[in-house]
Amino acid sequence: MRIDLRLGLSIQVLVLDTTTMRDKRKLDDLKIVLYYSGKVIIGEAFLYFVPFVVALFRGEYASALDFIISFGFAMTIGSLLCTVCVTNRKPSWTHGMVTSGIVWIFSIAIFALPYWLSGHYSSYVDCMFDMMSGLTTTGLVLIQDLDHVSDSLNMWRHLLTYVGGQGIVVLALAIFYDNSGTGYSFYVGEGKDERLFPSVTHTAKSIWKISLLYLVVGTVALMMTGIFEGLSVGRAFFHGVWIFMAAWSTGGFAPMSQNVLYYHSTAIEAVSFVIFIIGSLNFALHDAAIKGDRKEIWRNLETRSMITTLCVLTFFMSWGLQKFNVYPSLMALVRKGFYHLASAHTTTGFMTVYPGQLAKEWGDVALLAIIIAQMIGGSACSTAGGFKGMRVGILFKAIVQDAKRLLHPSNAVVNEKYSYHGTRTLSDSQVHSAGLIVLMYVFIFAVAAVAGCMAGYPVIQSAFESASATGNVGLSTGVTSSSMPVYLKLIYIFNMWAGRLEFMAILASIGFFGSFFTGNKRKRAKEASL
Amino acid sequence: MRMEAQHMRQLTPTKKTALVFRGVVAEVIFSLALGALCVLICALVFQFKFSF
Repeated sequence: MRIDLRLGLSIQVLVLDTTTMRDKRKLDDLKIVLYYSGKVIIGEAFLYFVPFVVALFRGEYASALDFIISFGFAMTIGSLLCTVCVTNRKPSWTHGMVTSGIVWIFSIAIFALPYWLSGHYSSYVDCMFDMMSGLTTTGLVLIQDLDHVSDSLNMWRHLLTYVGGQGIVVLALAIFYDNSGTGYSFYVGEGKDERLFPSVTHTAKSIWKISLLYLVVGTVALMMTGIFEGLSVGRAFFHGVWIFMAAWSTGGFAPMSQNVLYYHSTAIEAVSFVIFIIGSLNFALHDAAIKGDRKEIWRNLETRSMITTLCVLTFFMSWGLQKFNVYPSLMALVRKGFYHLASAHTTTGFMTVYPGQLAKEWGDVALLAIIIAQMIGGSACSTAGGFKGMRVGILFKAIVQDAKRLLHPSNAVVNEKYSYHGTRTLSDSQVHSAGLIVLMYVFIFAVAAVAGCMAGYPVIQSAFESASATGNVGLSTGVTSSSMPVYLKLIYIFNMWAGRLEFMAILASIGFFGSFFTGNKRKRAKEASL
Repeated sequence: MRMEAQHMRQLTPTKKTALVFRGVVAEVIFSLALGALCVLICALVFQFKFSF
């Protein structure tokens, strides 16, 4: 297996690319971006078929009509973009990256329509917030009266999370895209930088095969557990599918407003724990495991990093809860405390306590442990968010390497090695790019945390919610609600988007659209000087 | 990578299913082991009530 371990190095290539292309940017470039965005939108529109069938099956005809209207709207926009912006030019690396970035903005604007038509939202911004939350597998919600949402709308919410976890562009690549090299830029733009196969289309299909395999296994497991816990067969099936989709994609949505707490079931919590831990692993690792290389799970730097950080944070979280005697029994400490920590570390966002309890009962140490876990997140090239265990591992190795260099003679060659689908040598460029991404995560986290404080929320709650949005987690202390200021909703939307795409596509989009203005300014200045 | 793909294609459906099943079981075992390790840490903290 060959894996391109780029870890965000592409940012440098990309910035260079946008700078050099700035002066020769033409309307054609925009047409290419819009043309491929249109293609992805058309691909996504076919997803409406699933909730539409559920609506017919459950006799929810009003919802079925909502999905027909929404399908027509999405197809119209997609077809218009493909017709008006039709072009024969092949997309370049920058075009792929920009398309991957802006297609998410198109998606939240277009595919939020069923939410709006359902009447469960107070504004369209709230619909777009939930849409971004679903697609980026975050799990923060502004929906009102969730307990009385139709089954078809619940299917739509969870399906979006499931698709968003794999990547909406990955879906389009798997279905539509031809097998050319430029497809790789679309793939990388969505925050995935590893190829399981030489062909990116084959890789996208493989990601979907793995996800569908686990969909069957996980749904059966959750359905059986639901029946065992007393749910009717039909209800156990739907809840099984939804909880699986939310757990596998580390999304954190649930069909009931109490989230996983609704079930009051140790068995469902245990099964969902297994699913979201597996869901947070790298797709390359799944691929290796199902092809027979099972030892890779234990020697991989990413899983070792995850084991270490989870264990250390478990200690601090337990200590923090123990200090305030929040949970009097070990069982409660595990089911409430550890479950939330694991849910945060894998960026799932499943909750077994009320948001208010987190804010008022847990104390600062336990909340800080959760905030750090939310920021670290799961594995690269998985459905999880955060700045990823791989980067934590690389930065730790870099510290060890530098310490060794200090202790050894100046002419000694010290190269730190790590296991990642084979033995690799740590390079300075990897350390540099890992540091850069972590720094950008921390920066947008700080901006959103300050914005939360400015809106009047306490520091710890603002930081918690900011980490939750930036790391695509979905745990909440109660800040996220439809009554929070609109600017805070927009900042969280941006953080979810930037966190999910790992900045590359965002920087490309900003550079791309900025170049239209800076290019004109330069042109005008040049003309004036002549 | 191509050799791996070729090797997978050469397997009979039964052997391929068994391989996939063992892969899924290995990942489930990993997650359960990780959970058990963390529960052990919780238990130690709970039992000995560490204080700084």
